[in-house]
Amino acid sequence: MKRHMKKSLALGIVAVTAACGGDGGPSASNDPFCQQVQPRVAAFMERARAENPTPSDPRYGGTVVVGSIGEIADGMNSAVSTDYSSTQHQQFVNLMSLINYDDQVNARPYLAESWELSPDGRSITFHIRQDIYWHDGERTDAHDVAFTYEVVTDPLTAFPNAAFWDHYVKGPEGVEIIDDFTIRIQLEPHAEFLDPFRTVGILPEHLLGDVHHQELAQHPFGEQCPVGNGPFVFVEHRAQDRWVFEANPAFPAALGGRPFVDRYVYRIIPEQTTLLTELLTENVDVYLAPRPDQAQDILDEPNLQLLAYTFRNYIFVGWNSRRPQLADPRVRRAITMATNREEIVQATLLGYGRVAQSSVPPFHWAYEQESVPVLEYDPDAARALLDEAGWRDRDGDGVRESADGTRLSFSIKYNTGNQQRQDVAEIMQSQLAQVGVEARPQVVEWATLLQQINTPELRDFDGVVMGWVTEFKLTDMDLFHSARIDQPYAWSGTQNPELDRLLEVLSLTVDREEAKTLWQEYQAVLVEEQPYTFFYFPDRLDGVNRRVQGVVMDARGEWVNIKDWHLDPASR
Amino acid sequence: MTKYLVRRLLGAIPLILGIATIVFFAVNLAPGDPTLYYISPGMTQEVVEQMRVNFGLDEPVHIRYVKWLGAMLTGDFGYSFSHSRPVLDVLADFLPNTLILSACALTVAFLFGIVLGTLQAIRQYSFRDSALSVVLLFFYSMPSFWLALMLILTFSLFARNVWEWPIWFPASGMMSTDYEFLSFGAKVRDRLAHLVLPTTSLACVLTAGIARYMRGSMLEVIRQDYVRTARAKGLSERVVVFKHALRNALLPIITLLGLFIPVLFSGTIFIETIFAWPGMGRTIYEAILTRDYPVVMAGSFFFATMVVVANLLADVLYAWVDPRIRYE
Amino acid sequence: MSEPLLSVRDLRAWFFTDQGIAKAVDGVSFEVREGETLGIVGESGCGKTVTSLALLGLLPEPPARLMDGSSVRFRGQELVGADEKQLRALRGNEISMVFQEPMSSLNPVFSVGDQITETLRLHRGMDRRAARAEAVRLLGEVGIPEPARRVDEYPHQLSGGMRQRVMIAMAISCSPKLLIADEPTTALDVTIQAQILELLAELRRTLGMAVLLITHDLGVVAEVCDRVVVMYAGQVVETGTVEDIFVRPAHPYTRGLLGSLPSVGGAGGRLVSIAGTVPSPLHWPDGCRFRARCGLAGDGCEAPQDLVELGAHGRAARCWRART
Repeated sequence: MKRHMKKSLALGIVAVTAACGGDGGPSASNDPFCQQVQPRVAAFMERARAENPTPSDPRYGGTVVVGSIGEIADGMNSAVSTDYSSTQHQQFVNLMSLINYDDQVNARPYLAESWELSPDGRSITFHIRQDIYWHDGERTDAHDVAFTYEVVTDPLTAFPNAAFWDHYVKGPEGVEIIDDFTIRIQLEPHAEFLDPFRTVGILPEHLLGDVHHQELAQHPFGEQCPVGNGPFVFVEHRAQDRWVFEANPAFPAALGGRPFVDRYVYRIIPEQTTLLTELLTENVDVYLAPRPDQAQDILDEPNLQLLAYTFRNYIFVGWNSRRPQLADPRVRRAITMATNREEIVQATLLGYGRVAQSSVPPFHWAYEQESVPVLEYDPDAARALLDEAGWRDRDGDGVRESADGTRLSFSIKYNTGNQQRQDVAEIMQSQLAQVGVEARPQVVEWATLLQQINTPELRDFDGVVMGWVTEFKLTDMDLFHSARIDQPYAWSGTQNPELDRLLEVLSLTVDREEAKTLWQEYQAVLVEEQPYTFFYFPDRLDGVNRRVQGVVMDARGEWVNIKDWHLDPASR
Repeated sequence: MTKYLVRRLLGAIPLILGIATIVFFAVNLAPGDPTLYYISPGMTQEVVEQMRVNFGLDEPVHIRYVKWLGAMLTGDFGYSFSHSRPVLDVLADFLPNTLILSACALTVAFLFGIVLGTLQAIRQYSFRDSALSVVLLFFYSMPSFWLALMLILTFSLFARNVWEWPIWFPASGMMSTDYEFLSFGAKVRDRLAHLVLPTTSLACVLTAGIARYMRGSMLEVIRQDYVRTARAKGLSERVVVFKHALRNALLPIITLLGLFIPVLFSGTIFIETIFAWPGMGRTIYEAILTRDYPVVMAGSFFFATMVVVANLLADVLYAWVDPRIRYE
Repeated sequence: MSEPLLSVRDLRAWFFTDQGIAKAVDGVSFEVREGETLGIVGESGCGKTVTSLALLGLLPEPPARLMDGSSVRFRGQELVGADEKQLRALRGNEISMVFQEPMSSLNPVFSVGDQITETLRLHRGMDRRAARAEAVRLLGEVGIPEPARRVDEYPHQLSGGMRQRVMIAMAISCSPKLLIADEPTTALDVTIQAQILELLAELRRTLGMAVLLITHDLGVVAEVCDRVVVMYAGQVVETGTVEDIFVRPAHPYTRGLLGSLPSVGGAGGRLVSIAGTVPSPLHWPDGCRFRARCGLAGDGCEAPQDLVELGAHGRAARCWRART
């Protein structure tokens, strides 16, 4: 008797708590800013729906769910974003950037209808579209662009990608509002000068104009109640759980009109096995970045497809040339030659990747397969080179020493939680042992590792397995230029005048053809210098349910054409 | 009884403050800080410093401690760096989710543990007893996260795709993506369906432990003279076991409650990560990784408080159930 | 003579253990008549407690088993092999038990009132209030002062003597025809003992119930019992009236027991104890089980002994010498 009572009582409690507890969630933020903004957005949406009824085309409708292991860390706050998901959503989903790229990495208009570069190349004039509205009803105009520019170039904001503006005139002096829809920005001519305007989402001046720049990072606009002007309108954000957006009915027809899907949900599922299961049980339509060993499960499933393409990040082992064993470029080249990188790609990536010879990604216009100098896997040549550099095994312990007795021994650090990087370190260890070099893999917690390698006074590492994401505007200035040697990213401590010269020239060369030749030269010097052993460009993988059609994903990002995704009507 | 309670409560306060202090210094003295995550190309040291100032990290540790303590005592737990919101809001979002999960798991674990342990004890050495022992030992030895993954594969993936069962459970989340559009009844069912797998993963290990204790306790109690007296009065075996014996056998189990609460909270980190459950365990874990100091400190503080409260509750419950304690 | 209230015939309760079969009760027969007090006497290990538990079917069925041929008839109803439901209807109702250790025999987490009302509500169908009132009355009847206050107290709050009174109150609550008291006073000190025995005697009178009193204390037997059964090694070795047993003990064992009693006013000589110890129920000796310790052991003792009738009303002894 008692037992049954207890059981039903328990169930009762469960049901009640299940129904109410936690349901409220954070979607209704109690921040005063959000409480002001939300009713205006609601009103706008009502009007927009009324004035723009859904076309009868069967492609319209439905909800698409994207699953990823990471949160959109910085939300929609483009002033302080560096995270990939965040910038993608700012560019393609909720906000708008001035320009986009087509699949040939050529700029095309987006928020900016057109633009002209002055003859001397020192100023660029953007013409802003006049039919874009913020989701609270205000029109987007040049003031928003000017405001955004001032914010991201102000050191007080601490905009993480400050390098974007190296050759721009920063602050209010650099931007001039010609009229409500025309804006002029001052710059020095340099390579890929349009690139920053592809990444940075324009922010609403009428909502954020009064905020102190150093307080922007903490402003609720980013993660609690963003107001954008893009194809999707923000609905809610449950922290660590999901973001919900809905189609903007008022998105101009000239840009394709409203998205086909009614709703887009971004779900955060930190465990990859669970995420794969959700994809396989069709709770999630898109699985971002599955592991290579999960690819086969996706391929085996007839209603799923696997997208694989070269992406913008590469894995490398960075060598601290400040260390005596690693100071000589011959040693570093020998290390690279002693490593069978092709084998590592097969082993750790199951073939989903390409060996990297330098920092230039294969999809990039500057990349030319034939003319890239390659350090082939050649252990004999490696041994010869090490001998030549004066490292021999003088005491027969299997490890080479220099003339003064220093052993050719060092650690290779990698961060916790990344199997691939661990594999790289360990495989290197065994392969280097064949040529008399002792490498000791060492695992370090991520934040601690960052501190060890980034702090100029510390540089507490010999070799470190790292990843790097390249922008379309390639620049290794922070990595290899000797002037930046005391900045966080100068891990290798490179001081090569030829490299410096090429880096400087490249950053100012506007013409792509001219730049190509220089890039070849640059890569040749880079291979000679070997500040890193470049490993591979891993393919980006995505699992997509076939009911989501029209999906295009490439180096520009996964969300590049989310506006055009549509759901098979039979599946809704 | 009241005096006892008051004494315990007063004693808890220095305990909690001590924990808070230790957590503060442990977190703040660890290498690395939140700015690490924002460092990117072109960022100069000046920018990094500016960030530090913006985060309030430029002051020395002991000053920050005093400020933090003062703020905390007035209920101001500061601002989360990674969530860009007041910490209290962050806790208010995530804490209930963890509590739901823990409460369900505890309830299930105790219910099943008590029943199973009792069933084992009243038929000691029978086939039922031995079979249950083996099964329970299995679950006791399994790490909860492995169990979680197995449950997902079995009841989510295989059940739907391979065996095509009529009922299968969602592999993650607290509610489905179209939750807002469901009727009330459907909403409740949706929530419960999402609770099943995470609760089971959490509860299994606990159930096994509790059943073991219960079995032992019950075996001891069943041999007691007063059980014989109860039988001699003509009471049915059911009443003898579930009224006379059980109530006495439960006494040591209640102390387990106090012990298990902290275990439950630490276990939720794995479960919350695997099931994408937006709870406190995961939040604190990620806050540690990103060096989001205010969240780590506030979260640890709340956990410590809850553990202290749970132990207090266990003591009170014990006194309530056992009259011998009450009248000391 | 009317039919006896309780009639036990050839009761054999054997325990099947890993070490073998322990024949704790091995062919015990006796009768209890209405209103009479029968004492079962013997050393510890002779099987008297097992006998008392076997009557109500309270032995744990594995490992114990009542062997074929055992019979316990209560008012004409056969209890051995009876349906559990029937037995439960009798327990606490027509046949009650009082146990030796009142502290451990009462449930520590329920109030004494609760434990008494339990039987009342079960067997008499009383509602809570009526049962409680009756419980208070019963506590008064067994001599507990301030029963209305005590009824809500817990066993650990009462003294040993009072707890035993509570047990008795519980036992008599449904006016049983037979009260089985297993060493009711052994755990109490002497002055309380006397009070309890007096209480039992009084209740016997007022309720007209029969009492089966199990004890190793001959002094208690002398005071309270009408007839006596002496047990040794799982068997009845002598039966008779109190006078028979004390004045004309027929079995050497009985004589030995009496001989070991200290006598008030005696010469203060050494107490005579019976040499040796009780054999183990796993291996009862062949022949007379008392042989090893009997001062009178002789040729006729190798054979197992039968009960020898010595007179009317069940007077008997299990010794061939008793005839002489």
